[in-house]
Amino acid sequence: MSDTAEDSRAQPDAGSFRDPLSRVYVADGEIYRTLNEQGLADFVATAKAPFFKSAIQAGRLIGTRVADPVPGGIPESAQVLRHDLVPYVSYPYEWSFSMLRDAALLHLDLIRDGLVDGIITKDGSSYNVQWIGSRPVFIDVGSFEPTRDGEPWFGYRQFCRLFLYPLLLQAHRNLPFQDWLRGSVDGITPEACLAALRRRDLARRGVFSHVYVHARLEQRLADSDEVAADKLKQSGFTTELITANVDKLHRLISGLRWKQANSEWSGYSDRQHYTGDDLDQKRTFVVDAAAKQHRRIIVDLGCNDGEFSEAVLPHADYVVAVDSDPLVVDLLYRRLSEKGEERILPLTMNLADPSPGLGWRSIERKPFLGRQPVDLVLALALVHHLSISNNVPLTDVIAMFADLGGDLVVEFPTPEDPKVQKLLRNKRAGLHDGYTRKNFEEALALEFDVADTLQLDGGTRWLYFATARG
Amino acid sequence: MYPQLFAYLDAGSASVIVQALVGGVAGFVVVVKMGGRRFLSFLPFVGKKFRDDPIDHEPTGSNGSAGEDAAEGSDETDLAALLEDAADS
Repeated sequence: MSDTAEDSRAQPDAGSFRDPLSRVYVADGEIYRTLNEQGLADFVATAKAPFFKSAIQAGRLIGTRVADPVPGGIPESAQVLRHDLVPYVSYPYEWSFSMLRDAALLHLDLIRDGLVDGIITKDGSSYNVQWIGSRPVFIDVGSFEPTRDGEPWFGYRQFCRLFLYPLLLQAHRNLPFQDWLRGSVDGITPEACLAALRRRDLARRGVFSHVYVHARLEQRLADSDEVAADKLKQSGFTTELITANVDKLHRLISGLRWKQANSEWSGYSDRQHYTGDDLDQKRTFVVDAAAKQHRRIIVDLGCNDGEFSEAVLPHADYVVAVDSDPLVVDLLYRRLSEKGEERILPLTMNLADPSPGLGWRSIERKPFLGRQPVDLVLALALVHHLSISNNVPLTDVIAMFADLGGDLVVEFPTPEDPKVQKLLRNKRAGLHDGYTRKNFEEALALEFDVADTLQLDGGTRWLYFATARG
Repeated sequence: MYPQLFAYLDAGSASVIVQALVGGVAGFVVVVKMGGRRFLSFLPFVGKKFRDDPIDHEPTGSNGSAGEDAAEGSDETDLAALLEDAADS
């Protein structure tokens, strides 16, 4: 392990390297951005623009100061900035539909407001946005630059690939965009989006221009050496056309809706399978465990309606609420967003296949396991799904919780539990004979020190609070 | 040639044209001036007009001045004060 002096030296952030004018570094847990001469000039023009101050104060743009002092290890540059921290980093393939939509609208709002002051973004990437709970915040301050007469919005194509097309495919075809964005770090191409849409979708707002014409033109111009942008100014292209496009995109995306029949979990929140006082007992046990010490980050795996995320929130700085059902997460996000909740971040991913490292050298986007230090993991009503539905041995289930780090509150439904019986019904007899409380407790003791145990009155649910070892 | 080094993304000619087209009539006119026959002949209905167009003139050179400088006198701006002011609510 490196010593303290080494930890203080800045390291380049693996996700920030494509723009030569601006680069992000991490030192002592703080985020810094270097700017070269041109980057500094662009940033000063941006910071002077009225929209910048109002966006910072409205919390739509990440807080930014001049770095003072500048930590060691940051290369010589024209200027170093320090940004406020985002409590937990996440990526568009971990967001629900409404989250991606609201992030897109934020991006467009900032462009619209910026254009009034003669500022535009160089790119249009959904990786420019992060979350403070349910509030989206634009973090790529280095993306702003003054508009230049006759120049197009260079970020439009990227905006289509990483915002518009995923939203269109979810809204019109019910295609889960998360899988697609996870599979392709640059997003969905116009050609692929067109291939996934039906002929009747061409009549839907925005599809003909942003998808059909875009895709056909790309095919047509693929071998051309012409650079269309060179001819724009003399052909009369003005910034007003960019504004018109941004306005239309805003109307289009505001109107997109994801209509989806009930998922198998959306009726979960009535929690009828808990008898009598079981739910109260469970809540008390979980909250008491969380309250043992102040937690910086709690991760609630299989969060469903977020009830337990909210229950433990008073004892944490931040709760990351994860569920594999994107509909459930969408409902949770919309509820949190309405309340203006800024300390619970809802995410969606398959817990049996959590986000891997992606992008350049497979570290440009960090894997979910080990992404940031976690103080407490909640794994409630989850183990039977991982072990029986996903055929993961109990020792491996526990090992995954240990990978996340921190203490653990875990619930074990016994083989007699009705929910477990339901999962076993479709499995060959004997296949899950190893799914026993004895085996579970042995597996748990391999990685954790069990501090407290409770059998719920219903008899088929056991709760454990276990502390991380070493 | 525009200083595209400032925009690190490839503009993509198709994306440039679509942006103009989405801008309505004014944008359509821009695309026609750029060389509509090449770009628009595949479109249903209106494309036929461009297939029948006479041969385009040779493309003229771009006006190619480097574009205005970004904010002049940036080294005279007290950036720290500017950002502090933005942060104060």
